[in-house]
Amino acid sequence: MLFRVKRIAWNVAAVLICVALAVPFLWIVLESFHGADVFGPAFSAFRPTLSSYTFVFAHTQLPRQFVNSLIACGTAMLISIPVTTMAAYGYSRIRFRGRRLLFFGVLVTQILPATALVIPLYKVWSLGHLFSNLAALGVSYAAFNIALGILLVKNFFDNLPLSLDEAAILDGCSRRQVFWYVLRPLVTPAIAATAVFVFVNAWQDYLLASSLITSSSEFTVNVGLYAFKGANTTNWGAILATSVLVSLPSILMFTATQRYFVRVVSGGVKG
Amino acid sequence: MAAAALWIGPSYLIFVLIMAFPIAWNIIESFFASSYGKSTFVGLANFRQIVDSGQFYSSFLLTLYWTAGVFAGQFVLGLLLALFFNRKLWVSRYIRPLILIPWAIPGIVSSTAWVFLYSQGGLVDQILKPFFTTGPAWLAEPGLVMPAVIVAGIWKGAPFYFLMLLAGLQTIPAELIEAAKLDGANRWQILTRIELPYIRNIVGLTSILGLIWTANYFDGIYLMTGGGPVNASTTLPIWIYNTAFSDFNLSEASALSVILLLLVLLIALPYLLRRRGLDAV
Repeated sequence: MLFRVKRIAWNVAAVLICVALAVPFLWIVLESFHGADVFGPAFSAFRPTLSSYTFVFAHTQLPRQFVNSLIACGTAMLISIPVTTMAAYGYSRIRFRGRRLLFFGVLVTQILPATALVIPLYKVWSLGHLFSNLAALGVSYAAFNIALGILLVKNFFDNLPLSLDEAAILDGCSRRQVFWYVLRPLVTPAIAATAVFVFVNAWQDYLLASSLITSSSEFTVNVGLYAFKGANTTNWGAILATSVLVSLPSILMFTATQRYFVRVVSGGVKG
Repeated sequence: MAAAALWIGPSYLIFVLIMAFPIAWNIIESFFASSYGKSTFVGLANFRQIVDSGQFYSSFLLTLYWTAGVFAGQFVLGLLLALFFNRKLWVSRYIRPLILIPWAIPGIVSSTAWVFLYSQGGLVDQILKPFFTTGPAWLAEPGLVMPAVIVAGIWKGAPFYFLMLLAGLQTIPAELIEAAKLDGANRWQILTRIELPYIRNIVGLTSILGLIWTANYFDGIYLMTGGGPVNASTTLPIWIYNTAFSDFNLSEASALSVILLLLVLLIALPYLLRRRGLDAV
């Protein structure tokens, strides 16, 4: 009996802790249904309304910016999937000279912060007339995420026994056939997780998009939200509704794959 | 060798195009000053100008302040959460996504949420009503802006420490803790003598990555304050951004980027060396 009470108490405490931590976000979700009058009393006369959301869809550029973000993030995903899978296979299965050095280079790219690269990229973008090019922005997103993908997928390749490759080669497979027909299907979960991480990381970016996208018709959701906030400082209803809409894709995708996240960042290290 | 180039090549092509070449070019340009499209070699003049400006030391100290405050808060909060959730709770799988929300949402959204909370008559003022008749302007007071953005920064990143430290704690054999309890160890002793030493590798990796990300975190400050009021929250990354895109001084911004890059590589060196050992290519 006492044991059961204790167990219920722990579960209740867990719920309370999680809700308390989420309050800053839950609060804006709640207020986004408050209409224009967000600073009114929160609970006393709360009649939920969708007016902030209908306003956002009817009077802001958000739908267009969603498409822009999808183009940039989609490009990043499409590029990084084959590139990381191939490189991960290379590091895991091929012994070649300079392997350690090249892999060290991959680790260096993992810690390079966008803040140190935004000026260099700005110059290269002006050299190549790449401003406001969503696909080019996507390529830069890919670059910042390839290391994460390589680490994750390589970890999966490393856990596949070499006897798989050997058996397939004995049966007459070439290296490429071994990769495509034998190993690739077995690392699909890692590839899927990589795709999600690239997407979520790219979806969160503000810094690169704000400096590499100059024309407002190509703004991504985050740059668009900041611009809207600057121009409509008092329209909190629309600002909050946009914030909630912009968050949904990354919340849904990240929670679905968070267990892989630990695995890749810790490199499968135990303890 | 040729086979390896085929597999590794595409990733390096992107690294060179998006990282190595821009960085190299930027390093070269940091020794030049350009005006009206003409650039002249000026040696270390850009760097000297940065170091001589009063902004350098204040930005450097603000970056340290921000990084230390956010890191300490995130680590403690993440560790407490990990210790709490390191047990079997049937609600865990349903509510854990709530903990991950701050980490999953874009920086502009968390910044917007906190600007909203800190606004006049916002939630923070409501909660503190017993203590203030009218709340201070949290983000407009030079003395309050850093603590205010640090609280928001802690909230945003704590889930990362939670995920990593929980994963580490779950690898500790239960017998180890049981044995310590039988020997009469209290909770604090178990934490500091057994649990933390057991997961020291994860603690180390998490801390170094967290420190680098925090020191370079841009959205969490810039989108709340723009670096203000009067540069009171201008950390190095924000200084770079404002130098380039508000003052349009690209030469100085280049030199600043070089300095930031060197600092990052310096902090990251232990991580890189350790990580190379762990992945054992």
